[in-house]
Amino acid sequence: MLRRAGLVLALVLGFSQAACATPSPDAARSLVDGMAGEAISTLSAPGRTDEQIRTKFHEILARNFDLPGIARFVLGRYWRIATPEQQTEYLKLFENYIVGIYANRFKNYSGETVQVTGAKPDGDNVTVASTINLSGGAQPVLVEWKIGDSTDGAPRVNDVIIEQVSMSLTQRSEFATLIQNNGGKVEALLAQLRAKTGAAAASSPAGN
Amino acid sequence: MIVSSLRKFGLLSVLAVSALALSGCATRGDHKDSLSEDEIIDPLEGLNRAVFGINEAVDILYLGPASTIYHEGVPDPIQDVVRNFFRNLEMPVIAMNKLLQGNVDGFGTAVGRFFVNSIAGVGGLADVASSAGLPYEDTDFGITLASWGVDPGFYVVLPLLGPSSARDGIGKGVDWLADPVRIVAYNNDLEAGMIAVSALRLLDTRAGVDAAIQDTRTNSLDTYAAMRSLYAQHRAGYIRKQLGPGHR
Repeated sequence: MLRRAGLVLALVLGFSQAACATPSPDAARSLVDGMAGEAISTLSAPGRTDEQIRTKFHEILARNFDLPGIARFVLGRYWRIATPEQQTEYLKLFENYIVGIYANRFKNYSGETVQVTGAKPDGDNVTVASTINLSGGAQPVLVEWKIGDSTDGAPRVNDVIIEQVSMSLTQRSEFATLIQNNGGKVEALLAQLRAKTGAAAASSPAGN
Repeated sequence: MIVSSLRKFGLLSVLAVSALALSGCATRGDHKDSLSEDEIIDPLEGLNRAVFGINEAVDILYLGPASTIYHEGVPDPIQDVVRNFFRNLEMPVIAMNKLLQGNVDGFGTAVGRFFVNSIAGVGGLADVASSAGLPYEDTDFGITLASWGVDPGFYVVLPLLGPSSARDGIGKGVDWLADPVRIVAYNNDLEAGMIAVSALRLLDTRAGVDAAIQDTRTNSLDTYAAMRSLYAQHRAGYIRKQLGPGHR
């Protein structure tokens, strides 16, 4: 009996470890290195339009970030009360929203570099620490990347923590407040996201 | 028989529980919900939003532009001198707080800095202490209260000074009242000087967070809620850095 239990336990353990292996620190490190290199070469390439940069960023983020996982986490408990149609629309809007945020952040790129300083396991995730070195002798910014295995098994970014502030937690708090102040309706958030992403998409070709 | 089936049941339920716990990572979206959050309660949201609105208006019209002019117009070496000067004047109240936190090393560093920079640094204009192994570390009475186990309490938006908490707002008041430098200055008719120093410190601090503020205004759907979360996380992270894990 005990032996059988041991066998079952071993099977359960073995199975679940295969199902949710933590990425190796090296893999996580090279993910951040690769992403930073790609983003910087995109931004430094001469003669790129804002729209081209945006498209390239979208592609980089979709490949390296667990966007559906982040989107669900950020919606928190409202994910479960959203209808399937709302969920589908939300995932799409959230993706465009995030791409817009990063495109905005890097619009004024002026030679900043990313230096990976370490990687350590942290629960199911690996935290990769990096510093962003700003031009003009300003204090470097500490950025941590939480990397876990996404549902398809590839390591992807779950969260970006800038100077101790988690982007996912901030957005989750913001979205929850927005929904609460609108009678608990997920539609209110979707309307705001539509307006924000619509505006971002419309304004970027005109930019510059 | 009963005992054996009970035991079997117990064993099975242990297995079931561990299987559940272990397979938890397969459904990632849900398990991340349990992440500890440095959230802050906000029972005064209506009032806070009103103060926030006024602060934003003042910031957009005056404070932000003034800090940009200061940051970009004043040569960097002069900004450094100004920063050294007001940071030196903070040292006595920082030293008091370090002592109240039971941080004897921190107390020694703050006192050491004050004397080294006041004398060798010509009244605090140069920061010679940092290169002599006495680095600047900020602290305040809010952090002292945190070290005694006081939680931040509810969120407060202070006029002009911005995001704070019940605890940290009280902390600011205590720091102001107990600050030996301010007491000496006020007893010698130097109120205007102290106000000028505070104004310069405000411009310097505001310039330092400009990128974060612009980013939040551009990218958030609810700037008030985003700033509240940014403040709570940043403050909790800062307190953890000073006092160690378990404090917030």
